[in-house]
Amino acid sequence: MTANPRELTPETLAELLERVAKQDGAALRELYDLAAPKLFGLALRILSRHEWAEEVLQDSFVNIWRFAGDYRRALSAPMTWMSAIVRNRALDHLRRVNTQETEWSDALDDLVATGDPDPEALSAVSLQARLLAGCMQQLEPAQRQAVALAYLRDQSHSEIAEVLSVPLGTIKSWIRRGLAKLKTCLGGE
Amino acid sequence: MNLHRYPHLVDLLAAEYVLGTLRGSARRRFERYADHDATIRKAVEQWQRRISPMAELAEPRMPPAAVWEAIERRLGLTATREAARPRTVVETPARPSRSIFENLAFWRGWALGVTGLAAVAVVVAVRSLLPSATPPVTAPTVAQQPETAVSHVAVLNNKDAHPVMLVAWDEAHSTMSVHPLGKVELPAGRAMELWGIPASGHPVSLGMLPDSANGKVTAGQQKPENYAALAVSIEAPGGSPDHNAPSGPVVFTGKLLPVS
Repeated sequence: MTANPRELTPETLAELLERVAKQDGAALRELYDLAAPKLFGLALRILSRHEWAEEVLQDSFVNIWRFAGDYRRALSAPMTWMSAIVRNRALDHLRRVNTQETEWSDALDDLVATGDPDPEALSAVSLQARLLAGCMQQLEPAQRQAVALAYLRDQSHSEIAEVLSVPLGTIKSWIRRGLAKLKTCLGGE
Repeated sequence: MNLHRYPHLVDLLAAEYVLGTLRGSARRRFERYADHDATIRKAVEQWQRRISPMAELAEPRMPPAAVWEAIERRLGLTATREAARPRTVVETPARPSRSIFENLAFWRGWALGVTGLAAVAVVVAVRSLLPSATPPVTAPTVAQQPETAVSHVAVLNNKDAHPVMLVAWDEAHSTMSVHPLGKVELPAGRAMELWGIPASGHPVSLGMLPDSANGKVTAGQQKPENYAALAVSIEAPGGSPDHNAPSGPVVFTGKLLPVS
């Protein structure tokens, strides 16, 4: 990893969030420069339409500014916390617009970056996300897709069945088995 | 139903709850159980830790510049446009227009409200330091005087509420000494003008500041009691043509407080 002056490490991000909580505008700018590409990628993944993703990214940073004081380092990595804000905003947006209009042209693409993990790209995410990426790789592509559609697009079993053109029962078991494999891989009680 | 007899079921429900595929009445029922059951809550938390990082796994994409500009507008952060360089004088188009400069409520509200608390805290600290830590007196006219006697102090903050400058007003010797508290960078070819903001009435020019924000300013006939706050504006060299109103953006303000 090269030593850029400011890297997207959890420590850097957490420090910036602390300053943002004190209404430090320059810190928000730094945070934006570091994290916006990642968060915009997420918004685009969920919304697929550029103008919606831009709107959601904007709303998300306004919320990050307002709620940075609520961030707790002990509970989640900064990137996880910010990603959750973007995901929630994006899902709100999806609910507001008529979901029938949503284009799922990329529904069959992988929703999460897979393939050869790019070490540069992975350094930008939290340790937990790196572990999850590794474990997602171990799922069958279809299982992985079903799990990602459920979480990232907040789709129901039947919506996923429709998107992937497979029977509802198959989706249910893909997700169930996918979750079981993730648990084995990620550990925990 | 006693879910504890089915730990695998609890875990699966928790997983599908976090994933979002547990829906409708089943979801609401599960939430009610969780309200009264720490084991269920723990399972949900564990699944949140496992699954929520999924949101980080999308490919990075560069957002258009308009997004940041909109954020800046919505939060009123235009003063930090050249950000990432705190404590730096940033020349921005004067956000408050001329008419706002002349609006005294604006001045007082800003000086007393936004920067008041921070200034009080610093003044308390400065008060304990000043008698022994008075800066060396260099101006020859003052050098013969027995000692400096700081009567009033103002900590000037930038719009991010970062202290950038300390002004110590020595009423007995009609001088103000200015000390930078952070790095003060001026746009090329511009100068800083110091203003006194009275409790009522127009701002009054107190003179030009050294570019380094370090040195002395003669107070002349001006009395610190007449001003509730001080402010600094960015002007062309020589200062604002109007001695009762800055012509450039006001970048720092702070409440002027008596030391004794």
